[in-house]
Amino acid sequence: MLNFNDEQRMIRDNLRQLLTSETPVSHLRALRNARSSDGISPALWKTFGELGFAGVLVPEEFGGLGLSLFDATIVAEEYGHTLTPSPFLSTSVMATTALVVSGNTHLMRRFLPEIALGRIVMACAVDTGPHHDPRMPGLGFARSGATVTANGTKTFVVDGHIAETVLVTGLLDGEMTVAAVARDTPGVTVRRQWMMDAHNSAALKFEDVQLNQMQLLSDPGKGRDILDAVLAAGRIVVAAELIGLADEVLSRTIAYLKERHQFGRPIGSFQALQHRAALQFAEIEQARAAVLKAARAVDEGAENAELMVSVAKAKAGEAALGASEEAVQMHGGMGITDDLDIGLFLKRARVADHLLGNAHYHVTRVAALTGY
Amino acid sequence: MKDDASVRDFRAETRAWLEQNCPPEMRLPIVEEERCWGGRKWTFHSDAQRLWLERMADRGWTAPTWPREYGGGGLSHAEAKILREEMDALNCRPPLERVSQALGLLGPTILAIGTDAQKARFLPPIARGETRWCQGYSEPNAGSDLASVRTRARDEGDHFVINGQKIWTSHAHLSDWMFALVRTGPDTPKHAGITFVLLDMDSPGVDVRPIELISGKSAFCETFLTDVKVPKENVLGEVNDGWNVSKILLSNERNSISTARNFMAERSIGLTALDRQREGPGHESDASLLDTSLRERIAAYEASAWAFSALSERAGDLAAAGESTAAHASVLKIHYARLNQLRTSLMLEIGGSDYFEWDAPVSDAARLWLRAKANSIEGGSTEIQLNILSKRVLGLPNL
Ligand SMILES: Cc1cc2nc3c(=O)[nH]c(=O)nc-3n(C[C@H](O)[C@H](O)[C@H](O)COP(=O)(O)OP(=O)(O)OC[C@H]3O[C@@H](n4cnc5c(N)ncnc54)[C@H](O)[C@@H]3O)c2cc1C
Repeated sequence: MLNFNDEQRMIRDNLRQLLTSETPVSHLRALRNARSSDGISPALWKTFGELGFAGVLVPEEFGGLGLSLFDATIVAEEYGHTLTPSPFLSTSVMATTALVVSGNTHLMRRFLPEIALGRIVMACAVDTGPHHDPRMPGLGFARSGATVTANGTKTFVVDGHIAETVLVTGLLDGEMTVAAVARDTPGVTVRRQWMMDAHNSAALKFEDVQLNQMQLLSDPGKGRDILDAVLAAGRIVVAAELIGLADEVLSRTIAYLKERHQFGRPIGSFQALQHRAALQFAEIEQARAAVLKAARAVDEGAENAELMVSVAKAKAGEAALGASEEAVQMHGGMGITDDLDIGLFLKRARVADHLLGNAHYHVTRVAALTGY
Repeated sequence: MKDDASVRDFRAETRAWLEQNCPPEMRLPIVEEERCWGGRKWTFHSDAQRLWLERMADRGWTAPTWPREYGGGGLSHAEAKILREEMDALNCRPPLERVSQALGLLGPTILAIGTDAQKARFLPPIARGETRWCQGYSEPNAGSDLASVRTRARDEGDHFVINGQKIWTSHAHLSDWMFALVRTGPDTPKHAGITFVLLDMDSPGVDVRPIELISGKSAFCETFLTDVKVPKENVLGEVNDGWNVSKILLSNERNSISTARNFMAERSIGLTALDRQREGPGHESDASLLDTSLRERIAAYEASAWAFSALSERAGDLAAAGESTAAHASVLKIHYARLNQLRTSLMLEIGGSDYFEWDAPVSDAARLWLRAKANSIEGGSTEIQLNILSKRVLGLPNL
């Protein structure tokens, strides 16, 4: 079913209350203006741990809620509304999925309980260049005896500057492999990337970084499955955040259309604007359904799950960018000022669309997965 | 949906029954002319088509969620969804068009507000495909502004006498009955004086003239009504409350126009484009479309079509949980029109001049493209849907 049950509605309502009171959009603005070194609210992350949200995908045996990706989208949609920068994506979704799919009990025992409690931030380093291309990790692992040496670079690593441990993709003997590397390991340099949307990102350099076998999540061979699962989960959750963002920016626009008067009447009475606003609504509803369907498809291991993930990411990116671009236009000159929050939505929409593959990337992937 | 045990059983039984009972001919891709609309004037294209309709109607699966006593299957929403999924999986054609005026529009409306006598009289023959219905709403001067219908119904005690003209009446010439909006209160405000009547097309005074369309077909008609008698028991809802009845029906219409079509149960048009590319010498083993612009445009359409099938699934789930809003019918209708227009236009582009021949064409793509132009007009135009969303959902003010 692609609608929420009572429990899911309750999770959503509780989160909405928490986020609108603890981290409304002004919170992001304050972090940005202060050039905060964390770029997140550590207090909120702790609360996420206490309330169980940080461990939504962590299996119960490791102290989490053991819920589904479908449930994780509820969380993401809510922080999309408030533009809250949260380690939920990097840690609770991507790193958690990597660990669970790896089946590596040693690393799961070490990290999952900490994740569930909101006590640790982790990151997943996938991309190496300015365009998403996960098959080209830009990093190599070389094995000699029990030591593994890593060399390469990563970019656009969400929460890479605050992560205690980074899960890094690379090639070992030509096979995709994932390793858990503590950020303070000698040879790792981290540069905080101040992004347009004031959300968190870092560029990482690995120079002769010495690792031991135990830090590999799995045998080579299995790395690709781990990566695929991480990407699917990450893309769905970013897409859900984009839906929340789109929904919020549209309702702010509707409110403005009712309140702003020109020619002696509310501008929202002009049909030219009404129809454009209504079209955005229709696009968001369709994209929302695609995201829920994709989450279900992954949860159930459906045959077309990968395809639905790309559909969801593409449609959510388009809907969020469309709604925020129209929002700027319909706010007139006010929409271009930094005083108004609308610009923050536009910036986040653009960056989150790009994250883990933009709409163009995912549309092309639909063609490839279908076979043409 | 997670299949628990009883759901799994229902799925397995359904699949087994379909495999056994759906004739092989009814599992080939459907062509436009072979869609089954039923009715007294219907001639079956094959024995298989007749047999398939009879077997499905016997189980009530032509109207899966209607109560059994009215010819339906008595299935829950979840079960009906499984039936649909299994039919798609086995490529079973619908035995009777789900989007028809009878099954898609009038039936659910009678179920919602009809009297017991009306349900017992009209629903079972609809579910069995024995009566075909047409919709007499539009008039020459009442299109988008439907509430200005002028066709007059004069009260004659136990019956009405109807005079006026309807237009764009789809398949009136093939239909047995018509449901129509007529004016019973000429002096009341325009929304308040309308009545919804059920009218036998065999009644004296009904005159039907087909209109030719740009697609070359004559799918709809002008319908002239001269002193047509309609007994009062054939009023659906209350006299002068027809506008509200029509609103119930119109939201069924928008839902059924859009949910009847699962684009992605049909073959990918990207694969069709690749087939055509491979017909060229030296291209037999191409793995992807060389025209990257066309490839991206097709994929963008197909991504939207997948999203649309998720949307119609979600709309169904919300409706079954009683959470449906007026919004969904309009949202579906807007997307459906745009997607079908995009799809048929891409198909013409894929075919090139081969598909432009009017007589004996190798494909019906040109006619489908032209037919799709009507998708954003019929059942309330796209602009009217956007008006509905603006006013009723977004709450934007009137000018
Ligand atoms: C294939 C097909 C099948 C049909 N079948 C039936 C049928 O079986 N029974 C039946 O009763 N009717 C049927 N119709 C009629 C259909 O419902 C009408 O065509 C439709 O409601 C539009 O009315 P109209 O044609 O008079 O156009 P008009 O109302 O004259 O509209 C002309 C243009 O003006 C726009 N417009 C009108 N009002 C507004 C407004 N307020 N704001 C913005 N734009 C506006 C419209 O969107 C349209 O683009 C069918 C139509 C088609 C195309």
